[in-house]
Order: sequence, then structure tokens, then C-alpha cells
Amino acid sequence: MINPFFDKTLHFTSPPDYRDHGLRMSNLEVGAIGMQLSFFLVDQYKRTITLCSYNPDLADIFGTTGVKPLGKEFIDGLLHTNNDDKFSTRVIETVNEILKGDVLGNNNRTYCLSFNLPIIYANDTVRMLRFKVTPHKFTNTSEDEIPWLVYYDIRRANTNQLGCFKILDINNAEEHFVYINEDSTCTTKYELLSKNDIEIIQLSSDGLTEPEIAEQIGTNMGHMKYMKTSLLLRLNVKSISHAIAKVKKQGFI
Amino acid sequence: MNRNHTAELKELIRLSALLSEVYEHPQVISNFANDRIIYTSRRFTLMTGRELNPENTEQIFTYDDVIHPKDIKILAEINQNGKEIMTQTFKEKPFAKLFLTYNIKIKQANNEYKPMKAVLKPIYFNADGTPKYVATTFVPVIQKGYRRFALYTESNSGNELFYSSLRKKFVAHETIELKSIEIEILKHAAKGHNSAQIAKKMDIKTDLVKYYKKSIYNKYHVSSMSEAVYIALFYELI
Repeated sequence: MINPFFDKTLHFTSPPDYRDHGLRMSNLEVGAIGMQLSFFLVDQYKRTITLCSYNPDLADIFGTTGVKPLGKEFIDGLLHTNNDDKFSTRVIETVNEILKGDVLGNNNRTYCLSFNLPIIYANDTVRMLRFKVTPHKFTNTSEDEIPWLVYYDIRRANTNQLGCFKILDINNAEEHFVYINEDSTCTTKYELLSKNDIEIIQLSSDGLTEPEIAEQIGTNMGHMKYMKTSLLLRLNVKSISHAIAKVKKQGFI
Repeated sequence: MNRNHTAELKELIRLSALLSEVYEHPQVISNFANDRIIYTSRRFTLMTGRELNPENTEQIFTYDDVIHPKDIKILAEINQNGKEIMTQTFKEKPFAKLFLTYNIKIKQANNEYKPMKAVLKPIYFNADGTPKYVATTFVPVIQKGYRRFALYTESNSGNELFYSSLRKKFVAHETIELKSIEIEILKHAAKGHNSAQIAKKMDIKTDLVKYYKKSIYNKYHVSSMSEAVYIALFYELI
């Protein structure tokens, strides 16, 4: 099985600088011990995943505390839960896609991705996990910046809702919703939706009319209709009902 | 080793901004040598109304502006001791895992004080083994009594040490836990008895009761019996 955490499209022109790597891991581990957290760090160059587990909530999944390679059974348990449409795999692939792009513009690297994915472990127990992903370290070569180390914080999710894939722009304190295109023929893997986009869908699902929606989001009818049409195009759907069904499935409403 | 410190600090600030959001807790970066705050995360600014980053030096403030006045003196003392331990530890083992936790009151944006646990971890070290920066994360968990100021070091096999005001150093919990006579005094105090009454009930001298009361204050880092009784009740000691 292909491990989707590793982005096969990344090409390192030279080895990254590992001089401070021990220190980096030590810094992160101390934070994890101090706050009883679990995380894993994906090294895209060496193709390794290091787990640092100190969250007592996850002891049944990860076993003893400490630093160790992330077990194959964890990845299998994560990816096999949605075998029908490979949603978990597509979420992780989308993470890699976002990390290597300039999703927020202006080369903004200060953002945090979050989503919920279920895992099957030990005798078919299912648990919803909340992931928070940040680009931890980029290579700093003259040619390009490659997302070399990726930090995945893992904790027990507060809800059982799958998906809820969001991106928080920390510099501007803005939240966007990451809609994963289900249609593999789409040119892009994902679409960024704004709070207004989700609000239009949410208000429609509540039965509000177009003038009422326009009033609620504080715009005029013409602009609201433009936003709605643009939204339907980006979601590749024919009607708002279709959009409601698609967005609901990914946990946004 | 040729290192660009400006780039290093910039990267540290980016990571602090990220990890503050990941941890969902406010974070501050300060200079280890002089305790000067270098950067405050968005969540810290939301909590305290104070903001600081290297590009904006106009809103300078110090820890003393956001910490409860009662905590300032003891923190200065503990910081000094903590720094010595950190420096020594990193000289012996450069990548040692170590952090301090302080349970203190932080001034909120609405000027009210809220008890918080500050987790201090040294980061990025100088060539001589001393920490260069300290990342402080504020979490809502609060520990009281002798557990208020703790030090975790790898060399202590993961067991925490606790700060003793009497000895002015971090000690093992056995050394700083309340004695049975101190618990007995707290039980009497919780019933509203004063020192003379406690002395009579326990058949000991009043001066001895006063002596143990002071010992309780020191161990619990408090200045009144009511605070001490509350902590003892919190940990179900009485």
C-alpha cells in the first residue's frame, strides 16, 4: 500500500540541513511531555515518520509513551476506515498539495490545517481523531522552498463528524474551509471556501430565501447571487441542494 | 558554526505562532538571559490584550506587567535557581529534556487575574550549552501547594522536583510534602480554631503551632491560613 504521508512529487536538489534536527526533536518532545500531547513528524526527505506520544487519551492506540517510528498499523487503521471512497487518503494527499503550494498567497507559511479522521484499531474499535497539521520546516535553498518536515498533532476529536477540513491563516486570523473535490477529473484536488460560502449553504439548508440570505450575510441580492453561482461552479454541482449534500458529507454544516 | 540568528529568530517566531494554535494555548518567547519578551502569540494577545513582536517595539511590556504582584518575588527567585539548573544540565547533556511549570495568576485583558499553568521550555542553545530563548505556554491546568513550581528533568528519571522556599532550591516531593503534625494543624484551622486553641487541642506550645504554620506557608507558597486550608481541601488532605 502507498503511504500518502510521503509526497512522491517532491524533489530535493540537495540534502536538507540536519545539523539542528536532534535539538528540534528535543524541543518538540519537551513541549509534548509538558502538555501531554502526541504528534508525529513526517520527514519528506528521509521518508520517515517519527511519533512522539505523551497524550494519555491515546495510550490505547499508541501504547507506551516516548519517541518511536509511527507504526504501520496506525497508518493502515487510518486509511482502511474509508476504503469505499478513500477519503482519508485524499485528505492527506490534499495536505501535501497545500503544503507545497502557496495557498494563502504572499508566501504565507504561518497556517494550520485541521481535520477529523476515524481510525480502526485493536479489535475493530473505531475512534475519531482530530489532526492539526503545520508546515514545520521548509528547506531553504536558492531554487525553492520544499516542505521538508510536517508536524501532525493528534488528539481525540470532540465530535464524531468526519472531515471538517479547515485552514487557519494565523497572520490574518482568518479561517477557510478546504473542500476536497470528489471528482477525480477536476483539475484541482481541493477548493478553498470562505465563511460566507459556508454561510450561504447553511442558510439555504435552513430554508431561508435568497433575499433573506443576502440580508444575513450583509450584502445585496446581486452580489449574493454572484457568490452563489461561483460557489456552485467551484463545487461542480448543479444546485444548492446538491451543494448542501456534498458539503454536509465533508462536515462543514 | 555559521548561523544567521535573525533568520533563526524569525523561524522560531513562525513556529511559536503555529504551535500556539496547534496547542490551542497562548505562547510567549523570551530571552533566556534577561527575560525580555520577544514575541507574543495571537492567543496570548487575545488573553492579555498585550502584544509584542520584533517589528513592533512600541508596546513593550515585561512579565511583571501581566503577573500577579504576589507571584513576582518568588518567580524571580525560582527563575534564578531554574536557570542555574538548566545551564548545568545542558552543559552535561546538550539535548536534555527539561521544563519548568509555574502555577501563577495572569492578568487578563479585562484586568482580572486568572490562575494558569505556565510551561517553560528552553529552546535553541548557545554554544556554551546555555539556553538562548525560552518558550512559555500558558495552559489552564492549575496545581496548588508545593506542586505550584515544578521542574522536570530527564536526569531525574522523569520525576518532578518541586521548589522549596525554605531551601531555595528544587527538591524531591518527599522533602516538601506536609508532615502529619502540619496536616493536623490544618484540620484544626479548618474548624475555625486560632493558634492558641490549636495548641491547647493538640497539647503543644503555641509557638510550636506558629512554627508549623510558617512551615505550611513556605511549603504551599501562601501567606495566610485560609489559602493553606483551601489547598489542603483541594487535595483532600483534610
